[in-house]
Amino acid sequence: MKKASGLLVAVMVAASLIAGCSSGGNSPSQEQPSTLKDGKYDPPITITIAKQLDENAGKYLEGESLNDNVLTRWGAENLGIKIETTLLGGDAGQYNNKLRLALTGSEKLPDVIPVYDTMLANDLIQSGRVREITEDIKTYMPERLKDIYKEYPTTFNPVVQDGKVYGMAIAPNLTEGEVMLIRQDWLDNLNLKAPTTIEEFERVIAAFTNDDPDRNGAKDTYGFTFSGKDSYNTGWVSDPVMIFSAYTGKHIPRHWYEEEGSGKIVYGSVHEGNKEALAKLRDWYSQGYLNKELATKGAWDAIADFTEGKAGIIVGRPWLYGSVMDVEKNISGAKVGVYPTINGVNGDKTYQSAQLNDGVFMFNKDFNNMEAFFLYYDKLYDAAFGTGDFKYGYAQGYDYDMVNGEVTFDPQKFNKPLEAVQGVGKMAFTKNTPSVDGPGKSFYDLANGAEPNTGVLIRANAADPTTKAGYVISYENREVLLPGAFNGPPTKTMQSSWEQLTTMEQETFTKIIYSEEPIEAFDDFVKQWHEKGGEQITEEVNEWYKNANEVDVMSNMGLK
Amino acid sequence: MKPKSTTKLYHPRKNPWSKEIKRNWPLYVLCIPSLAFVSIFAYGPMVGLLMAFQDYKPWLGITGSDWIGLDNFERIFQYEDANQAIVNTLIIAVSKIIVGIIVPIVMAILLSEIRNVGIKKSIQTLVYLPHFLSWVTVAGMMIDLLGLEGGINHLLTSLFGIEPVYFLGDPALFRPTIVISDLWKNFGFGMIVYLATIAGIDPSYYEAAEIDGATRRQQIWHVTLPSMMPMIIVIATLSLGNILDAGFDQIFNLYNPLVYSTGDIIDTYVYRSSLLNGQYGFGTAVGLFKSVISFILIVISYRLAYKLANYRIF
Repeated sequence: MKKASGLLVAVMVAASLIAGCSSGGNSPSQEQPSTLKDGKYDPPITITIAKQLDENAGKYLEGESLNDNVLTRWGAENLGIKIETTLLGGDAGQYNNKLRLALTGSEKLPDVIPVYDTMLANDLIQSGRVREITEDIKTYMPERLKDIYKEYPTTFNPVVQDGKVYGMAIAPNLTEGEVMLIRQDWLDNLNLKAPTTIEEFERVIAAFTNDDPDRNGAKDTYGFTFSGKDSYNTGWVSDPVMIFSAYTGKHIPRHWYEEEGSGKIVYGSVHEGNKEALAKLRDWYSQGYLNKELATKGAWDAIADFTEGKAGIIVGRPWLYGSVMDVEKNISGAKVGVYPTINGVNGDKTYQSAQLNDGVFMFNKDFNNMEAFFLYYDKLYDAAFGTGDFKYGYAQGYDYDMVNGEVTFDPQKFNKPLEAVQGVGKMAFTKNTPSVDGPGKSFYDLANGAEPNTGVLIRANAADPTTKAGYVISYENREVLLPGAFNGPPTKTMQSSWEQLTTMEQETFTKIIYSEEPIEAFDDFVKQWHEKGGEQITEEVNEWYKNANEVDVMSNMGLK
Repeated sequence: MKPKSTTKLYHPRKNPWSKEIKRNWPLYVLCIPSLAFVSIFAYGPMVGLLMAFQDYKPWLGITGSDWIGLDNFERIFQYEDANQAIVNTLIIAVSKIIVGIIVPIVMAILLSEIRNVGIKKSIQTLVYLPHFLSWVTVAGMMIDLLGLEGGINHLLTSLFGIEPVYFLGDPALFRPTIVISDLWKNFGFGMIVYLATIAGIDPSYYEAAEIDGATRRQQIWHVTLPSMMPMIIVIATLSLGNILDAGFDQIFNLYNPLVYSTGDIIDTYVYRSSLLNGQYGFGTAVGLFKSVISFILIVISYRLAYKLANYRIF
C-alpha cells in the first residue's frame, strides 16, 4: 500500500504535468445530428462510460466481450445507442484513482460516470467537469423512474451543491434488512420459543450455553456469535446492532440519525443507551454466551461458529442462510429457523441501518445526450418491472431460458447449459442489476398468493423456503430500516479526526465487553469524543445537511 | 571504481572528462537507458513530493493547489494515537530487525555444521518455504491456531495445564506474537545469503586453524564469524532503512481493537485514516516523513560501519 500508492501519486502528478497542456482539446466533434425516431437513434450514437468492475470479465460467452456482447448489441440494434466502456478500473481504489487521473486531464472523462465514493463525487463537482442535471431529470426522466426517485429524496443529498443537482443515485432501492437465524433444533430440544425481547434473548442464549442444546453431553456450544473487529454495525452479517438498538432506539451505533422534532443530526454511538447495551454484552461475554473471540473475528469469519454448530444465533441479511446452511448438512438433525430481530426494552422494534443505493451516476459536462441515457436506463428497468423485451430476464440463453415452455434460471437446465448465468444486467451502466423489489416485496407477494408470472417472481419462487421466509420477514419489517442522514463527503474535521474517533469507539466498546475497562469508560469515551472533534463534526454534518436541503431540488426536478 | 582510477593514471593533468568520454563513449552510451530510467521513474516523480506541502486537488494540479506549509506533517503528530503508532512501529520494527539478523546467522552456522547433505538441504528448503506464503494466508492460519480454542492453546492446556492464552487479544503478548511469527516466516530466507557466504570461505583458513589446534567452536568464533562480518554489516545496514516498516500486511491482518494500544503502527493508522479517500497531501507527507527518517538512519549506519568495522558498502 505504502510504496504503491506513493508511486501512483507520483505518476499521477507526472501525468498531470505532461497532460496539462493538452486538456481541453477534446471537445466532441459533432457530425450530422442524430435524431430519435420510433424509440431509435438514427444514425446510431455512442455513449462512453466508466466501469469500476467488470463482473462478467472472464465469463463472457465465446466471442463476446466488454464492448461487444448481447446487451450492447441489443442496444445498438433496438435503440441505436452503442455503449462503449472507455475507462475501466479493477477494485474501488484503482477505479477512483483512474477517475482522479481523468480529472487531471490525462484521461478522457467518459460521458456517464458511476461514482462510488462521496469524496470523489465531491471532487468531481468541485472540478466543474460534471453536468448539472436538474432540467434533464425534469425533461427526460421517464415517469416510472421518477416514481422510484421520488421515494428516495435523501439519495440526492451527496450530489447537491448550492441548490444544483450534479448526479443521481444508481438504481436506488431499499435493500433487504437483517433477520435472526436460530438453530431451530436447539430451541426444540430445550423446549424454548424464539426470543422477541432482551429478557427472552438472554434466557435463550444462556440455555444454548449451559443446557447442552445439541445433546452431546459436552459443554461445547454457546448462544450468539457476532463480529467486533471493525464495527458493531456492519449492516450485512454478524452484527449485534439489535442489542444496541434495544436500548437506544433509532440512535444506532455508527449511524447518523435525524432526530424527530429538532431535525438535528446526531451520531448514534454516543447515545447514553449504548452504556446499558454494553453492560449487557459485557455480562453475557463473561458468562460465555458470546463468541469468545469476537474482537479478532471479521464479519465473515464470525459466521464460522454457526456453520460448525458451535453457536446458536447469528444475525444477517436473509441470503446469509445460503452461506450457513451447511450446518444442516454437517450436523445431523440440525435445522435453521429464521425470525425477526428482537424488540427493544420499551416495546418498540429494534432498528438497522438501511442501504438505498451503491454510488451515483454523474455525467460529463460535454455530454449532451441525456435523453438517450434515460431511454437506455429505463429499458434496463424492464427486467425489474417485468415489462417489454426483458420480461423474464435480459437475454434468453444468457440469464434465463425457456425449456419446454417453462422459464428457468438454472443455468444447468438451459437448452445450451452454462456453468453460471450471465450477468447481462451488469453489462451496461450499472454494477448491480436495477431492482424495484425493495427489501423483498416479491417474496411477500408470493407468500400472499401471487402467481409467479414475471422474471422477478419466478426467480424468488425458486429460492429455498428458509431464505424466502427471511425475505418475507425483511419486507414486513421494512420500517426498521433507517437510511443514514449523513451520506455526503467527509467534512473538514472528519478528514483529520474521524478515524481517530472511530478507533477510540471500537477500542472502548470492545474493551468494555471484554471487561478490560469499567463500564464508566463509556462516559469518558463520550466526553472525549465530543472534545476531540466530534462536537465540531456534528456541527459540520448539520451544516452540510442544511446546505443540501436549502433548495427544494425535488420540486425543481419535477420529483414531487 | 577501478576503471576510473586507471584512466586517471593515464591522464593525470589534462581535462579528464572530454578525453575520457571520447575514449570510452560506447560505455557511456550503454549507461543512457538506465540513467533515463532512473530519472524518469525515480527522480521525476519526486516533483510529486511537493504535494506534502499542499492541499492538493487533482483538477488544480501542483501549480494550482493551495500551499499549506507543514500542516500535513503536523497532522501526523497531532494525536496521541498517532504518537503511540510511531512508538509501536519503532518497537516492533527494531525487535524484528534485531532477531531478524541474529537468528538467521546462528541458524546458518548451525546448518553449515551439519555433515549430511540430504538433511541439510531439506531443512534449508523447509524453513525458507513460508517466506513465499502471503500474509493473508498465514494470518488466517494464525488466527485459528492461536485462538482460544486453537491448536496451540489446546497443546498448552493438555501438556502444562495452562489456562488458554489470548495471543492476539492481549496487548502484552501481541508484539512478541508479531515478531516471532514474522521471524518464523522469514528467517529461512534470510539464512540463504549467510549460507552462501559460509560456503565461500576459503577452506585453507580452517585447515590452518586445525593445524594450530583450534576446536570446532573456536573455528566458528575465529574463522567463520569474522569472514561473515562484511555480509552481516551490509544486511544490518540495509535493514535499518526499514526501521519505520513494521510490516503492514502482517499487522493489518492480525490486529483488532483489543490490541490497538500496542499493535497499531504508522501504516495501519494511515490506512484507516485514508479510508476517507483522496487525501493526497497527507499520504505524501507520511511517505516523505518515513523516507527522510530511513535516509538519515542509512547514512548514520553506513558511517558507523565504516568507522567501526572499516567496511564500505558503496
